[in-house]
Amino acid sequence: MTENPTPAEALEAIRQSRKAAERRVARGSWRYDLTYSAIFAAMIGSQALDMPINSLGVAGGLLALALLYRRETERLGVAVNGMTPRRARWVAIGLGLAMLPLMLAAIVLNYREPPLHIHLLGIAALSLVAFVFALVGSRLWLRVYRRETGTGE
Amino acid sequence: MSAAAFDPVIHAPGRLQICGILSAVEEAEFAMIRDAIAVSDSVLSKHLKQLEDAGYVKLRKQSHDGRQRTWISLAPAGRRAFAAHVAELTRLAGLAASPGPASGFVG
Repeated sequence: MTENPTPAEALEAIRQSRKAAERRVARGSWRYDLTYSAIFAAMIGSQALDMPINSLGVAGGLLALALLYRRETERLGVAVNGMTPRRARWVAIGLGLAMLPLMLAAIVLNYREPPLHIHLLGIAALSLVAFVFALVGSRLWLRVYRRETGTGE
Repeated sequence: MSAAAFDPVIHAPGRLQICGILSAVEEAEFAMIRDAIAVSDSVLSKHLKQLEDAGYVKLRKQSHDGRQRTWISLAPAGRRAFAAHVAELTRLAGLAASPGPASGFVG
């Protein structure tokens, strides 16, 4: 690029640099998404268990998410918290909201004290749904992020 | 939406790229930006100093595994100025791309 780029050259330079950032964010994203989804699944599943396991499940899950975020930030050299850009933020909020009924269902399941095999089956089903929701939400977030940062794909 | 405004502090090639990267993330690490825009440490430091003096970026030092890393983010003023600059570039690029006034026929 020249020292005094034309508007078109400048816009292209911006697009390329945003693409460099986006490539970093997407690097190893499957591994991150799978870990993130497994943590969510464990948090939801633990809500169908008695105290103090359910409380520890939430606290441990939040701690694990924080550590995962920190490790990824250090590894990639970029920090993205999910709440920007604007449309991607709504995907993150939607994912959080989608988890609430699952958490409630897990609490109700434990409250009703069903037979052990039904209880275990319920925990497995809710954890699986939470895992799928988190994985789909995470992939969707990346897609929206790419579109919003102007790098498409 | 930001009003379009050309910003000479941002328009220099290196700083344009730095702002481009920072506009896509919350924070970026010094080495990541240096590698992405292919400049030396000293050149990047100069660009960052100019952006910091203009109030456009914030620098944060963090120790990690016994070494210090610098994290850079766009300040709110920088985010606004960059959005306005991109809007102006888009407007100018549109003008350059659109056909000029008809010539050769004056009625």
